[in-house]
Amino acid sequence: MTEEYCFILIDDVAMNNLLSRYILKNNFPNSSIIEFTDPKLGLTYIEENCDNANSIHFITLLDIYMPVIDGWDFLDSYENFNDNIKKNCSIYVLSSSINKADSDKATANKNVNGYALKPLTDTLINAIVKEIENRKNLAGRNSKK
Amino acid sequence: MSKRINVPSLSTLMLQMPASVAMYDTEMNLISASNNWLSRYGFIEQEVIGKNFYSLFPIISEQWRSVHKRCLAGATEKKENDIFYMPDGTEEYVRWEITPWKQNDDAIGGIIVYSEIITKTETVRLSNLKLIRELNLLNEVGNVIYSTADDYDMIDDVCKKIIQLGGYQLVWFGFAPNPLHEKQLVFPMHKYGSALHYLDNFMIDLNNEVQKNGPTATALFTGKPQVINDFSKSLVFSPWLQNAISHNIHASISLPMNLVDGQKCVLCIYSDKPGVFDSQEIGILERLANKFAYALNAIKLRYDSKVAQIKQDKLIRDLSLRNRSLEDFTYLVSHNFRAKVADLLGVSTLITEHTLSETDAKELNGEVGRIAQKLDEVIRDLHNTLLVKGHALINIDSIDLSRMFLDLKQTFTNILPNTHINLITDFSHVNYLRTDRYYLFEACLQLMLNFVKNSDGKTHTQIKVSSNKTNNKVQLILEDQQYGFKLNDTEDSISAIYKKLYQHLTGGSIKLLYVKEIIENMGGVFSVNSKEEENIKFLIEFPDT
Repeated sequence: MTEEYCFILIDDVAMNNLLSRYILKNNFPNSSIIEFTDPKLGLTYIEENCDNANSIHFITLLDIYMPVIDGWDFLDSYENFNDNIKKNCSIYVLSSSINKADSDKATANKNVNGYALKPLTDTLINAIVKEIENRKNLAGRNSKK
Repeated sequence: MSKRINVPSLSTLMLQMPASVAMYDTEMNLISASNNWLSRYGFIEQEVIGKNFYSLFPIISEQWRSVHKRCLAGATEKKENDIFYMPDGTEEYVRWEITPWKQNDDAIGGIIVYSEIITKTETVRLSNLKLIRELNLLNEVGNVIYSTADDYDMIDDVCKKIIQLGGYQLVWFGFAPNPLHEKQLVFPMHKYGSALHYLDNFMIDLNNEVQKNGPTATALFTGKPQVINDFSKSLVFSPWLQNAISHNIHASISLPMNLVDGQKCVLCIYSDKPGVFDSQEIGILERLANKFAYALNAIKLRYDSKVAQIKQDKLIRDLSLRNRSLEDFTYLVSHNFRAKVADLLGVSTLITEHTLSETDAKELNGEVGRIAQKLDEVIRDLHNTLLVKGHALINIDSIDLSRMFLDLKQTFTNILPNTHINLITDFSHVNYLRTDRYYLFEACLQLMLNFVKNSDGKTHTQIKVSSNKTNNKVQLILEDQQYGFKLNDTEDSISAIYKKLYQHLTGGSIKLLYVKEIIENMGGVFSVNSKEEENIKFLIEFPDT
């Protein structure tokens, strides 16, 4: 199960990525973890690698408030990506903001699968993955019908 | 066969003339006169025939003697409505004609004086003219009132019409204090006419024993028009008589007006003729004043409604700004604190719930210290911000900007000795600014520190500072080295900059809020000008005093 996922961490504060990396490594030791402090590079990586992903599903943990390109700008650019990329990717906003306006805005975006509060924990990442698997199973059953 | 008619003598014909006619010889001796003429002057024919005109009318002006001479020389002179002031003080209007009569040899034998008293018809005619003038005035004032939206212009125009169409000497309009009480003055706010100097230093002290009994004060106190038709016969007006006469004004009417909110005002009209304010004229002017008051009320209601709307709009604007400011503050507090707390929670979870390698454990322990340090800085910045928030900064001084930025550079060097600043200043437009030096210094220092922190550890930082004067505002412009971005129109610029550029700095966003609070408490405005491909410019603006 764990080999099916590649985690993309996008946060301008390197230490936040470090903390997330520890949690991910502990829970999904065989998964790939790619870290970006520059969201632009994260977008480029997704565009170049997620189109032909075979069986790998990409889980992006996206911070919101970042300089120059913030999470909202990231999502605006992501909207222009093709459907195949979007099918192979799930985006979860991982923010320290407890502002309801931020969580509302994030969950209102059709490309965002969920909003989670920092820090990333074992429980949180397992819930995220479980939710993705349920979604994939549901999609599989619907396609067989 | 025609019937023979006995032609009466000249004397008989003259006597029966249905008009006032008198015939004189070249010496102005009376030859013949009509009964009409005789009875007009109370003469008996036998007693006056042969008498000289100048002995019959010993008090005759030189003007009339000249007329007689010219007519005896052949001229004919006449006047349609000449006015005569009678000994009893009344006026008579007379139509007259004087023409020479000739003898058989064509030589001038004397003059015939024809006169007709037309006082009744002339009075009616003049009365009609007066009525037309007054109605015209009323109509024109009505036009002014309904076509002018601004009360100042309307009052001015009404005053002009009153003089131009009413034929008066002077008019003024003034507001009375509301309510009428002691130590209050009424004075002309609008005035027009040819005797404006009468109103030099003119004011009515409602507390002054003499002035409060004058016609205008009485009109205001009683709410009724006060008319003085002849100043020289008015005891009430005696204190101002000499001044009025010297400006050729002899009669006045003071028309009080009540406005909707209890405000009183007065319209005072002066004439150069005594007795002009008869009941008809007073009635017309009262109607004029009523129209005037109605229009003033309408304008005032419109104005009050507009003011209420403006106040409401401002209140809504202020509330939204305050709301946005509170949202920003809440965001900054929650984000800055929450971010660090989240970091601590994350590190703590890893240390307590996971088995870490010695290297990882050491790294994370180091992180705990760094996070705590950042949290401490956030708390101190927040404390400073709260100290400034809501406190008036009042030590106003004239600040030499060139000097202040030299001091800032020195302070900067003391704080960050390893950072070289290239400070480029241009205060050629404005070098002096009146505000609180201590806080302006603090605000600029914090901005400059932010610029340096944002330069990602570069040892050389270039900071541009300039001043400008525009739209009655003095601007201080500090340029960051970062490129800006296009701001969302609906988003507060400072807020956007906090979130986009500075939130990742330790306490950076709080510092910008701190600067904003300082500037706003000094009565200024702190904003940011951010455009793509251009350096971000922070603007500190103060009203140009």
